[in-house]
Amino acid sequence: MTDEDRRTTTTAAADHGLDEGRYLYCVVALRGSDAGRERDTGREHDVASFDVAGVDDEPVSIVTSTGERWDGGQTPESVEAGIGAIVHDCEELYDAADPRLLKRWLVQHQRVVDEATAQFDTPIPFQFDTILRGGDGGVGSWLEAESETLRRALDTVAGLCEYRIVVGRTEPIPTAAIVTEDDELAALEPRIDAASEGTAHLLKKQYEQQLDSRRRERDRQLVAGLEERLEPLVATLQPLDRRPSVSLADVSSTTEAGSEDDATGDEVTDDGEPICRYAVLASDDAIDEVGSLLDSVADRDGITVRFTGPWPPYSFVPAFDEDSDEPPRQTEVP
Amino acid sequence: MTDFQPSRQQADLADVLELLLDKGIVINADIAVSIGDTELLGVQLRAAIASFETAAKYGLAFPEGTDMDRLAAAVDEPELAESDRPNIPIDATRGVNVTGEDGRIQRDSSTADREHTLDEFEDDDHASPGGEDDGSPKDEGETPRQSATDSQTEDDA
Repeated sequence: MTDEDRRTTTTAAADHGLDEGRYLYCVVALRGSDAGRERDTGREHDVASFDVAGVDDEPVSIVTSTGERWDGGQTPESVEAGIGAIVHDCEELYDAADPRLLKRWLVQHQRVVDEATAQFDTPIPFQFDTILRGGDGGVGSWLEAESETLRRALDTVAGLCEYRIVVGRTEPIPTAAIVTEDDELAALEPRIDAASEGTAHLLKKQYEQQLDSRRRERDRQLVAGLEERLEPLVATLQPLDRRPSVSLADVSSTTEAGSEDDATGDEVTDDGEPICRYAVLASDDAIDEVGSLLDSVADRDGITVRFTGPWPPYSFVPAFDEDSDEPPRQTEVP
Repeated sequence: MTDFQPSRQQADLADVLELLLDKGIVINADIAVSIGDTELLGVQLRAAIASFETAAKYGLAFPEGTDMDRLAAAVDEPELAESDRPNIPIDATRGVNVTGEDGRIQRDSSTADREHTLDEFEDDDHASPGGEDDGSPKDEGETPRQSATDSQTEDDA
């Protein structure tokens, strides 16, 4: 690295004002305690044992709304009840074109949020690569300024987790199954057989179109039925676009192609064509019932169901669009 | 009761990707930087994320004027060069992760049509300060900082 490079890098960091950057993982509710023990129960406090490596193996810390900071594994003298953010110090945005490195970062980010969930109950997770300027003081000020929204959000998700449901179709509904219940289609069949070549071609086209439309209608009914039965079981039901909004670029053409972890989660091949996707916010208790319901859906021919979780409630965070004229993000707080 | 339980083991990277890159708290304010601010930042990350339709929805798309040849060389993904973008260098990638990647960019760009590297573009920009500003950021309100003028000041100082 030449002096020129070094100067450029420093300038770049200064440009983006990240010399006092804090990479944000999640916001957690802190219970009041003395010397790492909870006042009420005497049980060892969460803060004392929170020690996990973050993105790029950075050590993580907890910063409170008063700007106090505890590094990982450190036992504070006392903890005031309030809110805190899990952070690490950073100077630049995490940016890499290598999907393997990106995946590694994502998993490391997720591990921190998982650990926070285990220690502090359900946290409010940040998007990957969200960095606040202004050091611990900046984090504290932001927590303080948004404390009302954050507390409300923490209360809303307390004891709940996000789960993802994808219903896919691996095989089309058999033609016979539709025709036997459809007089119109049933009537078309002998007409096609009897017609001249040209007319038969047109009728056949009409037949195929109707068949497609009936298939779509069946799937719509399946989805509507599932939604109707799912909704009362969960705290919040959020329908998603049928396809994931984000996927990784195909890495097969990169130099180290062939490694097993290059699979980018292409759902179409394994789980069929998605016909609906949901993010649900639900309690642990509700999950057995949701599972039974999904079981009954998955029993149908040509249908697969993918049921993942528990995840931190990424899809159920409040929006913080202070000074933006962008359209609001698709987020929802029940 | 049921044998159908949620799991996080079965190739759930698809979920992790969407949850962490598209959901979660975003702070749209000058006090924060996020991957949404890609007019200036996260250029390589953007290359790794494939679904551009949605990316575009959230302002993550390649800004108009992105030099696709150079980007293709930078991320070792020749197909990117075929993408439909005008071949005009912009300052969006300036100063982003110039460390560590330089060697590869240098090597790859020797086979590309253009001979420029990130550093050369830095020089270009300095030779004609602000020259590319008009062509770069298209999305309104998406430029938390315009680095060209800032860095000019920094360098002079």
